[in-house]
Amino acid sequence: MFSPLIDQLIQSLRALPGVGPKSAQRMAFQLLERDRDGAERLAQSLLLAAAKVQRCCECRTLTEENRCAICTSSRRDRTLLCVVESPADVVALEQSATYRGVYFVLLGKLSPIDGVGPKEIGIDVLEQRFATAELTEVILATNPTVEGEATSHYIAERAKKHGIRVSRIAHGVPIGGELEYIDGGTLAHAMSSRREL
Amino acid sequence: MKLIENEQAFMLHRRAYTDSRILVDFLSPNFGRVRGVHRAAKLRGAGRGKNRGHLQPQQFTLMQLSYRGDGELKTILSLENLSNPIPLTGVQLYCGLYLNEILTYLLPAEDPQPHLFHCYQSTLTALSNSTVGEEDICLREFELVLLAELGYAIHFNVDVSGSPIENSAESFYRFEQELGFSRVELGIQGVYLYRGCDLCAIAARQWRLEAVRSVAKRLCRQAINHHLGGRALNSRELFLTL
Ligand SMILES: [Zn+2]
Repeated sequence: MFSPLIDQLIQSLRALPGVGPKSAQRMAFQLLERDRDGAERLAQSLLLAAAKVQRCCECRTLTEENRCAICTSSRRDRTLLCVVESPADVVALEQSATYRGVYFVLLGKLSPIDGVGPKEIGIDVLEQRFATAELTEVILATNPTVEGEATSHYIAERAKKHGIRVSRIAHGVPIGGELEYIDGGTLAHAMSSRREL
Repeated sequence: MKLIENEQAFMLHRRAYTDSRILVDFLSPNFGRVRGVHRAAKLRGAGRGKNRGHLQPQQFTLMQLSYRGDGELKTILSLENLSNPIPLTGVQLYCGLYLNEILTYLLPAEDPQPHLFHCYQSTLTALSNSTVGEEDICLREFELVLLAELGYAIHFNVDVSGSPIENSAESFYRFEQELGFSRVELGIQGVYLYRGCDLCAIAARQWRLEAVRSVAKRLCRQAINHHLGGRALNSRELFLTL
């Protein structure tokens, strides 16, 4: 229906999350009809990012540096290590501006049926860190799913073996939420991890 | 088109399918292992209020499932939690993931499994109440039921010739897949031998002795590996000691 180059562009745009054939088509025509400069910039950024962005050698988050800005910062407390599943989780925690330590990004979670084991999410690298770095606390911030909990437990066991204190972020009622609309699993968790006032 | 309504189910596994849809494997009593496509946001209770991230269905939670479809991949019409997740922690979680992995690979699609379904449910409950270091008992009991339900039952109280297994520490048996136990004299080379008393203990589900549990583990593992036909189970890796 379209010329080969346009067709190729539409197909490529579909690699983006949430983009089906219709929106890919709309995006392609927007770029080609109205925003050639934008299209050039997009192409340049994609090429550059795809060529240069890799994993930070220390925390495994995505960066074009060998070590990312957080890992190189002198203002971060390097004895605190927070373990998360994805680079997006790092961004979320950074935006909350409550954490001054450094991170370790698993880029996944243990999921045996999918063939994702400890090695696939860098737990061997993390254990190296437990063995060599001066850590006072490991904070586990994986998602509250079955796989996320299993991953946390697996890491916690290994951190404890190295005599490092381990904590798990709390899960419970969101601020502004109403108890009556919260699912039973979350409430059960909130109740069992209640704390004394 | 076949329409199934309000079937009880546990989710065995979920994976991303398209951006807004997930592929879910279930265990249900009347239809056994079922695979369906689920529009994630349709899950009841999701996306309420300002909560943008939607809730995904979770394992170890009794759900009510409705779906339609004649092919292997069903369209999930509704999915609702019937209770809170059975609370598994630590090693219990690895055990749960292990159960889900063997069910995924051993169960044929859409074969009714009413007994196995209830056994799965009670195994999860037993796991959540199990003491540290004794989770394996729940796994063994489940594996023995699973093997039996699939038609591969291991007979622990009769040997291949039909004689009862002798409940003694001095009678020895060898095991062959799909055949069973046969009596042998001690001293036979190159085969693993089982003591009659351990086999009788397994038959009676007496798990007090560590030795009995390790024999049961060995036998179940062999049988399951045999029926998996060479596929490795990844969840076993989680149990490897520190
Ligand atoms: Zn870094």
